[in-house]
Amino acid sequence: MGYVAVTGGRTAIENANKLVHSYRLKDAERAIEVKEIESQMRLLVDRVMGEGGLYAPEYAALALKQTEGDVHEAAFLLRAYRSTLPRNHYSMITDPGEMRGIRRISSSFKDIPGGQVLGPTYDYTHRLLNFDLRNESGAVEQFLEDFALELDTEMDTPSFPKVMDLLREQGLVANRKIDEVEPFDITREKLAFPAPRSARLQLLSRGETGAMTALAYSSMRGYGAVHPTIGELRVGYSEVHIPYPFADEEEDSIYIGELKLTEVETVNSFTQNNQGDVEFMLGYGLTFGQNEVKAIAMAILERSLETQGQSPTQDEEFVLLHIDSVEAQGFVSHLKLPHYITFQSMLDRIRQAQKESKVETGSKG
Amino acid sequence: MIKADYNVFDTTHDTQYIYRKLLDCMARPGKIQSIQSVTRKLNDFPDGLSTLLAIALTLVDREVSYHLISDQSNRVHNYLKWKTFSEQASIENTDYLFINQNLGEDKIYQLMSLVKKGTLEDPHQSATIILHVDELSIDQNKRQAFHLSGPGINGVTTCYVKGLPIAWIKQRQIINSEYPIGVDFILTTTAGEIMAIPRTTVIERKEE
Repeated sequence: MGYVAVTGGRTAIENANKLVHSYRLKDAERAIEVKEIESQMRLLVDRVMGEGGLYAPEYAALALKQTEGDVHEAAFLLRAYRSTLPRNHYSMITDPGEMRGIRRISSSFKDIPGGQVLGPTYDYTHRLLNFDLRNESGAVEQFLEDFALELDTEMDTPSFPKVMDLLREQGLVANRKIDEVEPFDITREKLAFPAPRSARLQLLSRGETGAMTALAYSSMRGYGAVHPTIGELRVGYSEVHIPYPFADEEEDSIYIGELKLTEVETVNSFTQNNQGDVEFMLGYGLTFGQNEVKAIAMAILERSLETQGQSPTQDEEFVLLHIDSVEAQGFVSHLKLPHYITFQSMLDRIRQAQKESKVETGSKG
Repeated sequence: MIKADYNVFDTTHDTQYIYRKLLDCMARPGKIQSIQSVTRKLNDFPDGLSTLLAIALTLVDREVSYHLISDQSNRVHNYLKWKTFSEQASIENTDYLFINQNLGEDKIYQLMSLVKKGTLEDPHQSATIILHVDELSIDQNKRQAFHLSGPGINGVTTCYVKGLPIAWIKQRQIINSEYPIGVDFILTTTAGEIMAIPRTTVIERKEE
């Protein structure tokens, strides 16, 4: 049995669309510039790009403006837009180990080659509302004045060796096998369980930040097996190259731009390998933009899915299907659409049941 | 000031135009549509080839593969690679097979035994064959008549095709015998006409 299309209400829908436009602007003194969202709502833009699965800061900012800051809607818009684009090229392998870092910390080792670079983070700020921000006129000019000298020194953009390579070199890391299989493509192919590891990582990478954080937290609190130490968390810019489309040689490539990425490698409990040596297991998280909590949550969930057990975060289908922003918000939202017939049939049944029970009790009494 | 040349094939709007026509043809097997107004723009290529090429530009991209059987294969191959980034594949692996040559019966048997037919689980992973013929018509005076029936056709429709060796029809029948496995056909002409015969359509030759 299919769905019965509900018609009617067209004028009402048109007016609702008009109204949502007017509510976006009705209390505004001026329309916010997309550029302003892009440059000053940096972490929000990063989050929307991550969940939308499209690296496009300007479009993410535009989506946020259009949806009045609704993250789910904005991610939905980006995904919908992405699905209309032709895919003409595949990039070469991007190694975040070579990224131009702006932040890089390890909570496993105090002294790491290159040092701990805190970079831009709220981790060490007081969580106090800063009322000075209410009036920031001239702030940008002031900022430029104050930091004019330091800006020059910032030109030095380091790239750091990977912390985990220290453990790898000592043979203490178990999962170091390089898997040169063509990755599964979750945007093109239908997902079936058990999913290949590449599909898992893709789904986690564009998962919903809140849902992933909640599930990763549950795993750490006791409903799971994974409670890691962060071997390394790094934020920076990675170069993207594509094969030169008109090349005669396979190796020719061209640079097309860079992506801001957050990469996390976690160190988890150790296991014994086939040779009887004890080794650490790594968890891996990678997201667009600066998205640290999500990247850590991804590393936890990714590792958790590799283990056997009964907890929710060890269930592949449970984790991977429910962390998707578009799927989850779409399904919950669809309840707002007309279910007149579904509900009518429920009403019919409850009335029928009531009638029958009345007849029964009536005949008994 | 640079004048816009409206006679250049527009890879966005012209391919969308063709795509709509193709969908209509697929939904109504035997219906003849014309895409001449856009194939004319590909006038660097011989007339017969330009219709095939216009369809190739519509359907082919980096994600799918094609194979072309034509006298001008090399030239077209380079053109398509630069326009669509698609690579030519072997006949066994191709998603779209474009044919712009009159092939003998043996060659047709050979081709049809090689093309992808899909599997029961993934019937969509089959080839679409875009075949150039001499003439498509609903005019009864033309020689070869075919009765088409099946989904999308109200009862039976008749179309008249010139330059379609009967070996194609015979082989198609064999390949398509286990629905949903099978191949779909699109027939094209130099005049820019197109007609689709999807795998669901039953073809019967008119007895004369």
